[in-house]
Amino acid sequence: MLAIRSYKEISENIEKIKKLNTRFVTNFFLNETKINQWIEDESLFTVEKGKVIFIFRKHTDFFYLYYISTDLSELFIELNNLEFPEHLDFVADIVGKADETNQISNGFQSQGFIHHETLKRMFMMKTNTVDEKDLSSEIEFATQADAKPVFDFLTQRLDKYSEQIPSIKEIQFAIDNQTLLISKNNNEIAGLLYFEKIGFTAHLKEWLVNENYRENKIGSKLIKTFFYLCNNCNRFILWVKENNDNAISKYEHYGYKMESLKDTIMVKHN
Amino acid sequence: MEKILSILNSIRPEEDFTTSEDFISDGLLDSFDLISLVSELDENFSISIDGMDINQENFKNLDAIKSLLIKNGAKL
Repeated sequence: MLAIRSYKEISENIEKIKKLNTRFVTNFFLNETKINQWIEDESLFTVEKGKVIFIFRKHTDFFYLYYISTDLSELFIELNNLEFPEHLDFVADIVGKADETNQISNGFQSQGFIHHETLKRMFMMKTNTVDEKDLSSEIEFATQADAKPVFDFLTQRLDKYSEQIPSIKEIQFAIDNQTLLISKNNNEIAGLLYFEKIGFTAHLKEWLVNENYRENKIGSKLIKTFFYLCNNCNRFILWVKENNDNAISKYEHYGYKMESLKDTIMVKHN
Repeated sequence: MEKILSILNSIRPEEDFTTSEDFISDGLLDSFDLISLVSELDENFSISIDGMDINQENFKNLDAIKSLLIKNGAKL
């Protein structure tokens, strides 16, 4: 595995594949800010196999696996030839419209990956704004001292393969950008909400209430503050487990609707 | 421009691409859309956009996309 040292190397890889066949298939989506962050963290690596370039991203104790390939048949051939280091798990997110992704997930399945979870994207176009007077003083911006406790809070409660738990560095970045809201009781985290703003789009990434504080309406206070901070956004998105009816109905209550985009999470356990 | 607009609208029907000067920063297109857009432009204009040109700057607005297509040999 070779370390990726610049965004340019990613572009060169895409170019290499496109030269072979014009078209390309990939699950590596081009968010320059994110990619540069991963490069800075030295967590991106690449392996070239025939007409496929694999990209690995180290995340805590497993790797995300991405591919850039001329087509699916080449991808599955090279996936079969890929040597996976032992004792590490590999996670591939297959993202696309529902009807497009089944063939890819089946191909991964035939190469030893198992279906772990399916997420669906929900979205909402802005309908109304929240007034400052409706906000609760219990909700505040997280501070740098909260970074490690937040990371622990999330890792203890979320599924590491499907719920894209942010690294401590990503949490620190969110704290600097005031995109991590927290509610605390003494020193205990009662709830938190983590989001990203990209232009006029607000992406709700994590929204979690401590099980000991479920009756305190902390969830609704958090989301109200989130909507207030995103008053200038016109599009709101999030990913949810497709069978989490409880969460889906909560999101629908706030106006989110289901999209056709889904993320099938395939895991190879070594 | 009409054809580019129609491709953009097929990817994100709910957005108005005529009023934004920066589709990425304004959140009209995200990283998922960028990959779909490259494929759609390749197919509709019978070209192959150079991999080195696939960066946010070249997809930021209609003029940037138009220049990118011309650079990659599209007949507009």
